[in-house]
Amino acid sequence: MADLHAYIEVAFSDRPRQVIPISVLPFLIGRGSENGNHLALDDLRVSRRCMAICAVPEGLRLEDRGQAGGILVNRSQITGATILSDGDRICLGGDEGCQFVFRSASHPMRRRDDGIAVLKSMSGARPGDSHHELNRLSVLLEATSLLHSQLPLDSIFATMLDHAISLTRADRAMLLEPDGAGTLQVKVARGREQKSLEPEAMNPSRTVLGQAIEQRSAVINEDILLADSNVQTAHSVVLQFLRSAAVIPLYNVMHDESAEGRGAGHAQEKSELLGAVYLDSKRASAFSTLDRQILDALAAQAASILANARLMQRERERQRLEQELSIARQIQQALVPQGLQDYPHLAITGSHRPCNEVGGDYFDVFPLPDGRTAFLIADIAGKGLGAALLTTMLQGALSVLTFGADPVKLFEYLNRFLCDRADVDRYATMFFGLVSPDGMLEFVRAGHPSPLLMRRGQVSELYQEGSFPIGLIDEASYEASRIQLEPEDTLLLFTDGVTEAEDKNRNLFEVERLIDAFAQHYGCSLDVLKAGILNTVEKFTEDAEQSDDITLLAVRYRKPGSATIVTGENSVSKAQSL
Amino acid sequence: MTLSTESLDGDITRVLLDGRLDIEGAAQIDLRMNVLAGSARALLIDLSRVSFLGSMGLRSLIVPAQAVRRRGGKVALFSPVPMVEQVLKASNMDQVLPIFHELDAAIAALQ
Repeated sequence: MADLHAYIEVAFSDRPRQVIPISVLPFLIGRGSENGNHLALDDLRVSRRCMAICAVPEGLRLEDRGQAGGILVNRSQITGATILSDGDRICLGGDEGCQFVFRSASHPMRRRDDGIAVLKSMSGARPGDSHHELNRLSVLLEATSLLHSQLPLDSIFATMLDHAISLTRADRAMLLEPDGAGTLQVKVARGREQKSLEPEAMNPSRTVLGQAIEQRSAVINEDILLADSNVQTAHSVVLQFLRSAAVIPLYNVMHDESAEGRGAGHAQEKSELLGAVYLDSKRASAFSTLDRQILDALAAQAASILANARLMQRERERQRLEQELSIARQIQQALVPQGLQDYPHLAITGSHRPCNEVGGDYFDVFPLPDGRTAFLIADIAGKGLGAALLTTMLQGALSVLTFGADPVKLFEYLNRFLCDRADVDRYATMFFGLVSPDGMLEFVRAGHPSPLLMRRGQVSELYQEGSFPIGLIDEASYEASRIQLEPEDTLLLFTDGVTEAEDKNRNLFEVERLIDAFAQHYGCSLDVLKAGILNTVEKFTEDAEQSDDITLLAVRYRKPGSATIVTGENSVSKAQSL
Repeated sequence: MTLSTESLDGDITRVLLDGRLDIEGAAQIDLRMNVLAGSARALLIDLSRVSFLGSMGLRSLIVPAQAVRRRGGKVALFSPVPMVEQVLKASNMDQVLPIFHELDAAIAALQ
């Protein structure tokens, strides 16, 4: 009966997940234990006599024993009873929050036999060993089958250690993992009768641990008082009056055939130390009769559990990062203006192609009450969620310009704000421009590469001098510059993702190539210009990975009222009346 | 990205950076740069082997350099390649941290 390999998982939405082995048949589930329930739940939604799991020739059968509201298996109401199969979801009274999951190996006997054969071949045991040992090994298999359940990692480790204790009759068992510095630290500790021990309070013998790591194999100190003097004087062992300790170092199992071909010793050297299982006992010679093969089997199992746990952890970390990136992507997409409109005196188009990791590029265009049109491009240093959040902050701060705030003062304020808050730990480069209907461009720059100006087919930079980014140096100051635009003058704003785009040989696109590509599109519409430049960058980088956002903003000045020539003053009043 | 240091006469610490100072390179040197910033009197940051300077990399130079300057120390940048010098100049960093191409001049400025 103990080898049923069937479990019932309590998966209520409002209580911790539990996996309970179905140890007897029929297995009764209900509220309270008066009715002989094997799984007694203290929950009013569960009837006192809820259900039972019984053995029938076809397998295990779920019987409704009087659950209020009935029982649904995989969302369909059962009438009386149903045969269970692995993964079935049992729902009480139609309450989605009140669920059990049935877990079982489909062919428990075959699977166990296969597993034992594998374990025996792994540990090199001869067929025909004692029945006793087989029982011990099947205990190990139970630990392994837990791997496939949804249990949290720590409880998988705890179960593994509990099995190790029952297998070796140790007093305590610990799982140690190397920390960042490579020192083995106790991660989970268990005592007899499945008692959880405080990992911090454990004091495993470093000497015995060191021996096991050095020898790369299990070390048993049958009686520490009789062992070599080196171990006798080991502080922790004497302190705790421990007589026996066994340490099993755990290595990542190598499946590399070429490594095996070069000899076992070599393959071992390549393997990675995952951690160690540490067992100790107050009894002298507690482990002396322990079969070497049992220890090896235990090591193989524990290593596989630990290696799987590592993989799971990495997968979770990857998922967390992916989630963070998707939030960043959403923020960024929400900020970049969709479908830029043209203004009476300006044609505008923009493009923003985020890289995988989501950079901090951002552009915006908005009208001012005095008839001028503001446009800006910004690049926040760094990537991911942090950059995206700073972008939202910048957008909020820049929106005050809509009410006619002085951009120079705003830049200085933002700079101090970011420098004072060192935790923000990020800065931005920015170019901010204002075009009035008569073509006067006023701009403020903050460490951003100069936009390119195309005038009658000639491309030049607006400025050569540097300027301080925002949020890097607290004493930074900013200034406004002015330039008169002529009709059809076109400005190309970009971020360093364009000029620092790399080909496969890590050559940069550079501003010179951008100037050439820009000049080739003289007289083209802004959309053709934008597509042409993006195409040139794409051809340059070919299949190289895009490592930063690629952002372009093209702004073309045109006389308001197209064919009609109006004076500056008239056009201002016209714009204001709009 | 690697970082190595060398003590020069006059209590000057020469910091030799080697590699690409991009977002990953920055992460690799940030901690050590900040440790140096907490102890050195004068830093000569040798950029001759830095092939690329990105925006996060710029931060990795400026933040520790500012820390040294706030303690009354001195910092100089030495021998950046043209791409790196261009990034430094575009962000006005050459106004805060002087750039030298002659070692003697850099050392003299740090005395």
